[in-house]
Amino acid sequence: VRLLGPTDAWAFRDELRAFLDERCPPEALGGLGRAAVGIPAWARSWQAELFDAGWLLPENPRGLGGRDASATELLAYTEELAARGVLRSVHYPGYGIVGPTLTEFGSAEQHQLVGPALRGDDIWCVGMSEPDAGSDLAALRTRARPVRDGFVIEGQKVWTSFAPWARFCLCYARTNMATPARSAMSVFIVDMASPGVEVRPLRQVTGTAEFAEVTFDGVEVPAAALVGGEGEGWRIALAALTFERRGLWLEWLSGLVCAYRALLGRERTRGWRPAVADELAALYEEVLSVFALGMAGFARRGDPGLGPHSLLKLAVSELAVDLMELAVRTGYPTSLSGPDDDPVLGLEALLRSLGDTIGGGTADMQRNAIAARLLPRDPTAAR
Amino acid sequence: VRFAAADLALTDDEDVVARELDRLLDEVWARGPGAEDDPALAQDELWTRLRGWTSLAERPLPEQCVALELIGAHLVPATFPATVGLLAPLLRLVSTQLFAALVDGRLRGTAGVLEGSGRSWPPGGALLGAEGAEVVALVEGTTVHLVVPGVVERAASADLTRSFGRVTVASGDALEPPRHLDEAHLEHWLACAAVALAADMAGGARALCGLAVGHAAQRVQFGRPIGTFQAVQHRLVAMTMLAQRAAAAVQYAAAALEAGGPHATAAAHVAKGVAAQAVARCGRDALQLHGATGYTWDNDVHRYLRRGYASDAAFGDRHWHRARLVQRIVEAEAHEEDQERSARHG
Repeated sequence: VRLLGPTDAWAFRDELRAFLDERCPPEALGGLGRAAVGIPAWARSWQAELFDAGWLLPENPRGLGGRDASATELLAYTEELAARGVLRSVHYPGYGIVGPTLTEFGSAEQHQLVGPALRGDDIWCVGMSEPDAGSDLAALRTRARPVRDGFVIEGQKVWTSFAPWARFCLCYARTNMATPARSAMSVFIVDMASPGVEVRPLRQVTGTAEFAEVTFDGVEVPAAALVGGEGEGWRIALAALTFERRGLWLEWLSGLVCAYRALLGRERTRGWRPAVADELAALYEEVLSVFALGMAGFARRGDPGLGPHSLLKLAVSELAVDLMELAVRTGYPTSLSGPDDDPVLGLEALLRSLGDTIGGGTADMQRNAIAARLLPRDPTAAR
Repeated sequence: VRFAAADLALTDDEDVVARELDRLLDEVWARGPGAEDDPALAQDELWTRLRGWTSLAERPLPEQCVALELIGAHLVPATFPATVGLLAPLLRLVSTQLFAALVDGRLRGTAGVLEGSGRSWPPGGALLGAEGAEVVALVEGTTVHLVVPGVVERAASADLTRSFGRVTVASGDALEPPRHLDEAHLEHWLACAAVALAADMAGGARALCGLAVGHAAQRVQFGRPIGTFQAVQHRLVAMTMLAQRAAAAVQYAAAALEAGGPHATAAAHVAKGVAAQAVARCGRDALQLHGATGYTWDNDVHRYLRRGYASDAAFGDRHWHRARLVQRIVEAEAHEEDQERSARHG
């Protein structure tokens, strides 16, 4: 247990700093307030540039957005990103979920899709949730019927993030209606341009539509679109959720730290109010202890279970809402005036932070997953 | 303010301390009923087994905190945590000779701040671990008095597992001449003491989680273990979250103090505050999960809770630390403003 000093990973850090100084676009700075609507051009080119330079996922091998970074280098990377509030990408599913999932479970042919997913060349969405299968994934009803050359998919997905822009969907469907979903679920790569795929954007509380309703009406997919084997879906889903939560808390932690610093700076500039300063100090206790929890999480990063990642996802997402609420209610008038809101500390950022307590599994589902780790063999804590 | 990356994985040395000390305490400190009636006696017996471990005082702070966390989790009496957590970091700054004796296991004692020196704790002047102390370091302003305690009177305390005592000092009891401590060293010692107590509280919070999880797994009501009820599970998760955050904050603060720098004291304030909140909340939740069993004298829940209250009060309660934290933040921000200004004009 030790603090990283200036000599730790110094060459790595120097190179990263020089890269960020020179290349990071101003839109990518600014903590939790990801005010981007959709997937703007700057975000696409920034993600691709990070990938090519090996700075998107430094722990990955060269050629896959990384540079085989050591554990210490990864800590330094997190510290640098947090210090500046650097946003790596505005669309999470491709590099956060699909990339690692296909790497682990995909065929040789499907591995070809990993690079473009991580680099952001292909936009992906993940088709898990359905109208009657939100937290209860096992209740899903979308069906993949085997036919001569493959499968025909029939069903409806909902709250599917980035579906309006997606080229592919990682779609969870039943291949067997008779047995329980845990042994009857399979995963498919569906080309969103296939006949029978319909996307209807859903307006979110922010007013924009980054998620959507997706219907699959007799969509034909080839046998090669199946990921893993038939009936492997449940196992893949658990792994994918672990990848997702692991990536999310890491991403949000740097946003959280950056937003906290911005909040302090704003209060200082406007003049300290004693009661607000006291709340900011209370929040500092929370932010620093969650930051430390994140650092401890790195030490257990290889842990295959959902538990520790769920704990961090829960801690970071709920604290972000606390922080944003404090930011909005101490920031009048620029925090509530509408389109001119401060993008880092305004209402838009607060609304997005609320979404982060739902996406990737609601806070209570995270609690279930954590409890399953504390008390094994609990039937209610599937997801 | 700064958020520096930290490697919070246990080193091999820290891991050895964690495993060996845990095993030793399991073996020699199986507290029977009534042990709290005479902690002084209990700690005399225990001290002979633990004195070899005082060499931890010259090890890095994170390693010490691994041990002090276990001390809290095992409800070990006052002598060891007072000697290693409170006295050692002060002796290290003012007396090479006494510090060497402490590290060798030849000297036990405690330290405190005298009333009237602007810091009014320990409350009421009772010192943690004064009974059986061979040396007491008393800080008055920036002066450190190193004395052999004369009469030590047991002080009433909420804490059943660690004794507190009032020390009467007569002239001629000085072990060494008074030492001067500069302000930076004084701050460092106070931060070390705060983190040592925070480690004890984090250990208590972890132990309370263990008690609660164990009870929830085996207690059957309505025909099933109560741990299968979601309301119970979510309470356990809330406890676990607080306990793990406290543990991480303690390790982070210990690493920051070891590394030095202005950021370290803020991290110590955070650790003390967060750990105090964690042990108090975990105590209440553990009591709730145990129901009436948790309200019985024989159940350990109240021992952890009482010990936590006493640790919160010692060396600055959480309000004192919070107020200091506000100061630190405002100072750090003013510094930042200066830098921004000189960057603009320079």
